[in-house]
Amino acid sequence: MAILEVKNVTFQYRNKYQTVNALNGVDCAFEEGKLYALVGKSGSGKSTLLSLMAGLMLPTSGEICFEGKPTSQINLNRYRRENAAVIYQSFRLLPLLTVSENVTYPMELRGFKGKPAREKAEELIQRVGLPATVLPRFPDMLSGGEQQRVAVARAMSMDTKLLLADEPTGNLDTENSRRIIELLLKLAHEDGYCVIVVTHDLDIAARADLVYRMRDGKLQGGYDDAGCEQRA
Amino acid sequence: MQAIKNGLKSALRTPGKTLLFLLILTVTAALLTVSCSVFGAVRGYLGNCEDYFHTIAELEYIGQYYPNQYVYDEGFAAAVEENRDALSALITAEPVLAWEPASNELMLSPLIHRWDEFVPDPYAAVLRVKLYGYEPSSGLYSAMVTETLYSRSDDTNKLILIRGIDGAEKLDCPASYLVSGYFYSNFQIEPVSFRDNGELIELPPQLPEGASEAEEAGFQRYADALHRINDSCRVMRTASMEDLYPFHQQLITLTGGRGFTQKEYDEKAKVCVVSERIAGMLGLELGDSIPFTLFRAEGDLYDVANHVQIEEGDYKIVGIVSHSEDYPYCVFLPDADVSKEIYAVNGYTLGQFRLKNNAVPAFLEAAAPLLEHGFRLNVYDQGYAAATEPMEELLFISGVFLAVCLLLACCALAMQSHIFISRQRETGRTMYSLGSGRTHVCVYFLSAALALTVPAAVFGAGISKLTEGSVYKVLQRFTSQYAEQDLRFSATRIAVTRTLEFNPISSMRTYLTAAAILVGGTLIFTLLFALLSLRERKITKKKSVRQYAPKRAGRISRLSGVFKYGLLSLLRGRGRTVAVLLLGVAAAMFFGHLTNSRIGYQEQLAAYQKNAVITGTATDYYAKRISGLNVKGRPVSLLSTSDLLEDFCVTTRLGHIKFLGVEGQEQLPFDWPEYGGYAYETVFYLLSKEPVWTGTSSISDSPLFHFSDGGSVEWLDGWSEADFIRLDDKSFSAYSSAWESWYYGSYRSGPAVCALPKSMMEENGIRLGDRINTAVAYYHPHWDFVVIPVQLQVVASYVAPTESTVVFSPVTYVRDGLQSENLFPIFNENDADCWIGRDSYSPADLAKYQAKGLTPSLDYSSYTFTLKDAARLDELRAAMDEAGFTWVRSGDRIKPYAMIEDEVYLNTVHSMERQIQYVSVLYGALYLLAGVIGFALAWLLIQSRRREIAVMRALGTQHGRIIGNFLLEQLLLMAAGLGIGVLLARLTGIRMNQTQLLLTLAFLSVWTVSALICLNAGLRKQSFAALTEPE
Repeated sequence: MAILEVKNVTFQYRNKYQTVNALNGVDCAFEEGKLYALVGKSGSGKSTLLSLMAGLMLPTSGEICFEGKPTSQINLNRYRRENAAVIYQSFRLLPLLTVSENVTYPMELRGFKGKPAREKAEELIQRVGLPATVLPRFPDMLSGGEQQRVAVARAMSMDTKLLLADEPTGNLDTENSRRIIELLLKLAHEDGYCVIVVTHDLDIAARADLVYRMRDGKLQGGYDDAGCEQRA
Repeated sequence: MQAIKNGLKSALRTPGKTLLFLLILTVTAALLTVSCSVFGAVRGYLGNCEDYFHTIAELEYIGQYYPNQYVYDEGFAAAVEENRDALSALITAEPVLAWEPASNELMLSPLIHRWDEFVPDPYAAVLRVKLYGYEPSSGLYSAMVTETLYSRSDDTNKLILIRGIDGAEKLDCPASYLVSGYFYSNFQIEPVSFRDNGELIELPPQLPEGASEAEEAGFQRYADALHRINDSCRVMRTASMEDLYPFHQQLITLTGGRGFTQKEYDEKAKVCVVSERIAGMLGLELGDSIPFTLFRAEGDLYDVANHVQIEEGDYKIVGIVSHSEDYPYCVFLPDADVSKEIYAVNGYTLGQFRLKNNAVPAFLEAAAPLLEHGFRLNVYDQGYAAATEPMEELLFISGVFLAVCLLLACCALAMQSHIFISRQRETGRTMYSLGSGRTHVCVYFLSAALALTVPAAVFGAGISKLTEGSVYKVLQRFTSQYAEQDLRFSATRIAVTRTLEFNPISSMRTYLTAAAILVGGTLIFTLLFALLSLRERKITKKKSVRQYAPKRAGRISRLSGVFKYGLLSLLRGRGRTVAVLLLGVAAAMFFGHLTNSRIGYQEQLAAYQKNAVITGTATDYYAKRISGLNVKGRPVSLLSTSDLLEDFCVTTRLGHIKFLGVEGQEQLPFDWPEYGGYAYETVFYLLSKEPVWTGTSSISDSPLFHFSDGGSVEWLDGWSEADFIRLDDKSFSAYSSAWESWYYGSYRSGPAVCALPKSMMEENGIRLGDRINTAVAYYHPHWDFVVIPVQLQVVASYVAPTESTVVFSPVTYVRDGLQSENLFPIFNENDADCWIGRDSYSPADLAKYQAKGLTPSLDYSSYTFTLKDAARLDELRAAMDEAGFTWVRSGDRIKPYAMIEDEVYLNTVHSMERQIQYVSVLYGALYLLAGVIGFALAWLLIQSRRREIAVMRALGTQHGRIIGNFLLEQLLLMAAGLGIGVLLARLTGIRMNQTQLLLTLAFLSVWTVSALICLNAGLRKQSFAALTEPE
């Protein structure tokens, strides 16, 4: 059962010189418990598709349905708060909040606060492989890999079924990249998240359950990274 | 050429930015041009003022006869001698352009026979008479005038009564005599002695028929001397007629013909400009010649011994001047080398200076030592100061404005050049790397920059041209604001005789200057940045918003609630928090300082107005001589009862007084005559040569002291000026006693008092407390004159600022009206007025006098007063105007009938008001600037946190929550900063005031609104782009 369906989605944006068709009739579906990789050349439309799926924008035409409901018909703020967690290449932690507060922030948005929230944050931090000592630290005091794991913990704290990651290893070294990939795979396969990763990273593509290749705003089916073999 | 083409293309290919910069540069150019234009216009106006206005200063000596200009004051001559060196230095002082001494020349024409009231010796006559009879009871001869050698009227063939000299040999009757003397109620023969060409000539009282020609010649010469004294006209020899006081102040104007040409001045041509009265009397017209003889009077003008004939001939009339009461018979002669000598003449005016307009303060400083010796300067600038003072301030302001515009232009040009070249850096570098030389690249950049600047300069000039008319109108209104002040009765502002309108015409030079600045600035900045862009530069790490993040691990906050993020951000913002707090502190202190400064100015003005002492003077001296001035009621009386005034002091000349010695040691020079007889007239005549007896209600406020600083009064023990002023009843008793004594032929003790000059007391051996017997003579409206013996107790001695022989006695001035019967009941109520001041005629009183065929006295009274509240100056003016005073110059050197000495006050108040205006405008601009800066900083601050906002949004935070958190943070921070600022300001002595609080609140509002607007923009869809932007 697909948790997220992309139905004939197009997306256009205009700059002062031209209108660009970033997505051009994209159809795909994503299920829980799997890790999907969205690959393609720069400008192929993969990040745009991720933004649409994350509820940051609405498609020009077509529909993106979460659990059968089009995002155009639901409150996007609420959708982002409750259904779609996003991990960014540059982590995007709130710099003035401690690690703990960054992780509890999404919980508080949903009314889950106080000591239980802090305890859950601690648990999540430990789950992503960080010691509890990082909890009172500020993001600036952590390494890139640590920050990205905090970002993952924050995403996990949102208690969503959908986890979107935009180049999550783009700013990390090999070791940290490996750790993040492991973490994402674990979230998909053990915790049942639907993880969609936009990446250039061959490791992620290789280990993804399904790879979607984007070209010129179109999706070219699920192929593995090595060469057109569909694993679904 | 290719570089230029490419440069122009690059400008055209980025139309959005080109238009934006074009707009900025056009506004800058317009501002620069307008500021250049205003600055140039104001400077031009000030330059024109230098040529248009002429400043002169009259040097006067305030002597005992002031303001009588027909008396030779020996004190004046002595003061000139004593201060000759200082005077010589002054006339060659740097601010002085020219010095013209007062005229000491007389013009005598056989055709001129003066009839004006200023003839010095109007009753003197030399007659050949034939006696017909003698009346023993009256002692009068009846006689026929057979020849008039000199008299103001032609008495030939008229019958007159002649009184011989007492004790002289009885005259034969009938017989013919040559006699000299004075017309009183009859012709009084008097022995004559006069100096003629250094020779003292004594004439017999009368010369019988058959005397020798030599004896008769003496009488003829005396007659000639009288003619010269009485019928001569004042000659004004001048190197610049238009700058002579009466022309300068437009008391007289040319009504026909012309002034003198430079050639006539240089060649001392035999041409003249005469008054209408002279021309009319002689039946002369322009182009006619007038024969006359010129005399120079060394010293007393009316002592013929001093007359030296210097010239004789015919002078062609080239101009005729309007008639003036003050200058009825005057002649102007051209003389480029007019005498530079310094000498005392009749009257009190030593001469006049032509000054550099802008050097009056320096001149007054140079003249200060002289002013301590009884001299006074009256500066007349025709309105130069009134016109230039606001404009000089405006010049400063427009200079500052110009400097600001220049700075703005520099910033705009630098910004434009920097941004343009930053954006085109790669282009430039590529061109450079492809082999284009630096020059080529620079030309490329310069062409593109000039493609913006040149049209901007043209558009800016166009806008400036369109708007400068309105700007000039505003300036005109501003400058005329002070010229339109109600300056009636002002002491010196009355001398505003010319106004030069501020009517600037824009010049091409202004536009070219502004364009040159713009183009030059563009070339410099573009070249600079272009060359810099071609240099190899190290890449430096960009600072990010992270620098504001805490450097140490914090505590995990237990805060909760929707505003948690805002509060945490506020507490952890570190540098940013401190910066906003400091900004708030600075803003509050800035507002506090500026508002207090303005309030300080206003308080200074209010305090100055409260403490300012404005005095004034009024005189009826000439008011009585000029018809129409005293027919509107009793103005001085009204003035004295005005609630606006205090310290009202009346000083009136009662007559003359002769000391007869301390009580018991009288030295009577004559027997007391009976009223009306010849002896009585003689006594009066003799007494009129004695010191002046003046009644005053306050010695220290009398004109003698009022016009100059210094002087002192020493009082008898137990006495003070207050007692002196309150002496009305006692004085009355004393005068009354004196009156009675006239009948009884002896003095009776009475408490009438007087104050004498110290020198006079020493000379006469009088001490404080002595009772002295005196004989006084004064003019009386009913009896013409009165002579009475008066006993006075000396209760004070004084040293006046200038030499004086005035004897002061108290004259009460009753503020609530004239209660004459209480003052001097020995006279009937009609008579009593004369003691109070000759202005005190109500219409009813005046009618009574007129019904009796009497003319109110011409005697002279002065009034000094102080304004209770300087801020009510305009009310006083209105009241004086309503009361019938005039501000029209109406007489001799006491020009206005009533005068308020408010020059310093008005100058100060106007200057302070202007400062407050400037400050208000400047501070208003600064407040606006602070608001703009606050708006921009709040915007930038929120803008710098757009990524945080985007993250919060991506995490699904509600818009309201984001706005609430950020606004709360900014509001709390800025409010705290402002609050601390207000407190700090208070602690550093700046008073909290309403405007400061309002401005502080306004700043907080601007800050919050700006943050809100920026937040709103941050919540738009496009704001998610920040999430994917690189660090």
